[in-house]
Amino acid sequence: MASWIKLQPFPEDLAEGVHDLGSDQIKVALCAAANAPAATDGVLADLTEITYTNLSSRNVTTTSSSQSSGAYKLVLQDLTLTSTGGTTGPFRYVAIYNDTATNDELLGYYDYGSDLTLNDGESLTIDFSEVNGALQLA
Amino acid sequence: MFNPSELRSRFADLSEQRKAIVAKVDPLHSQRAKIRRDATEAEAKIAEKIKAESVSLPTIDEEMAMISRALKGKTGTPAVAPDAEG
Repeated sequence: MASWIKLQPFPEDLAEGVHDLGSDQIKVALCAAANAPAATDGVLADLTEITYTNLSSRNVTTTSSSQSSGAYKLVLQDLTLTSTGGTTGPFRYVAIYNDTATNDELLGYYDYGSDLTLNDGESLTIDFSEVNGALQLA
Repeated sequence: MFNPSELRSRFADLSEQRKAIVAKVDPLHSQRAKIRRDATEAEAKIAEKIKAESVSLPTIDEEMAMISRALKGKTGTPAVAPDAEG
């Protein structure tokens, strides 16, 4: 499983009402190894994304957004990305952003450790842990 | 030097300044709160529609992920069934 890295502006965005993670459209953005997200990146425009011509929809389905005993958990449905009609990538980083928020604010990203390329007809399933959620706030 | 009388006077002056600013911004806060309430109401209506239309997405995502894992990502394109050919 790729490691989750929270971006620095995200907590402030949460505190200042940028996100409604219960109903906003979460989306993934892909970046090559050469274009790693910086810790201070806050919005989608801060990233250098790959080309998505052959890629399926990057919309993520939100399973639940809730708290239990004061601990918040965002659970996302696993997303299967499929390349059709050609390759997609290479990419190493899978960033999560809020497509509904005014500036497509970023939440964080997953680091897959090395560049991946999806060939025509290949899929990658992004595993957002159902147990731990995509992110937790305590 | 510490002069209680001057300090009280300054305190009263600051209190008046504060009161004047609050009197100006209070209606703006109310205006902003109303805009936010209206926007929230309008947004909630659309969110409900999105939720209703997306009800089957989690099941679809789950099955796609399962199939993709079973095929080790080689999801390709579906083969044409023999009886569906020409």
